[in-house]
Amino acid sequence: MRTSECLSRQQLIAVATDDAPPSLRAHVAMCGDCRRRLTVVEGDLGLIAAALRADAGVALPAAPRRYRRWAPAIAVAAAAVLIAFGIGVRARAPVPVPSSTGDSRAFLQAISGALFAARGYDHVLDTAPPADAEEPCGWGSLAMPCGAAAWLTADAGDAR
Amino acid sequence: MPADPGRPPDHSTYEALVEAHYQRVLRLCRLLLRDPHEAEEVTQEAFLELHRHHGDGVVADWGSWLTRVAVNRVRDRHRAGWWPRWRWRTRSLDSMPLAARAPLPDRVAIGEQTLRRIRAAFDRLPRRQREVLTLRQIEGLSTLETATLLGISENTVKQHLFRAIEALRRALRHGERDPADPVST
Repeated sequence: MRTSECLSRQQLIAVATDDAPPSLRAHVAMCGDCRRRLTVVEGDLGLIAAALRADAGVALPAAPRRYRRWAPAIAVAAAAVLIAFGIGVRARAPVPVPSSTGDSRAFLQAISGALFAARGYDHVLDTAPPADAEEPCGWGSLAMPCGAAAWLTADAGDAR
Repeated sequence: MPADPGRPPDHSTYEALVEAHYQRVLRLCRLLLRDPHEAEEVTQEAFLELHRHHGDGVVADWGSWLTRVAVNRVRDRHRAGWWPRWRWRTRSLDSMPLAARAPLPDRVAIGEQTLRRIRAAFDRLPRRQREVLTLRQIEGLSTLETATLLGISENTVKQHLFRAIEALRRALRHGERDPADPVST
């Protein structure tokens, strides 16, 4: 029979965990219903403690760390980023501005090599400009070696 | 430094303390951290600390001392923030297979489903409730000792313990009526 003094669940748990004042213990000692309920709570506590002990007592194998499963994917992604970054840097590399005649030849050779890989202007560029050139080399605003102009003129004549 | 002649000699060697407390401290760390590798690291740190101080001979109860060191180290880990914990996060105990094929005796007695429910409910508890429940119910510390160790009041310890036990009992009952509820008359 439950009385108005019967313990709440919180009070029962306090009794079960030795946190209750003597008055509550005294009630449990007298009340059969509270004693039965206390037995249930104590049983649950024992089960919970046993479950947690069993859980934490699991023998652990040497488990691989979680990130290791992603290691190959991360490595591939990192390589792709590095390659893309490298290409970007090369594409944005500044073109050297020719500062002298020798540099101009090297510059034009580089441009020729890049744009006309199959047939370049190397043979033209290799031809030294005539020392006694009467006219200044170049067509209008296009700075061109004199040998190149002669070669282009000859090509035009052949076509005709 | 000469030993105090009035003091009883300390017969507990470092090896004896390791033998007596290592598994207990490791279990405590596993429960508080929920990460087996991190728990092992913290346990090793605690025993390294023990090795440093063992010669001092100023500690009367090395078991309590180890518990305090381990709990403080665990709390340091929690304070360190999410990044180191995420970085070193490994498989949780939930996904950890047993090393032995035969289930542990406790598991047989409790039942796998019940164990899973309790474990899941324990994982869902707020950190403070987990700490209080572990120290009070697993480690057997008193309310005063737990309060001192965690730097909170005894009443707060009682509140946390009640809430944690209620949550785990609900998980244990799994929606069934609680027989500890008072029978209405």
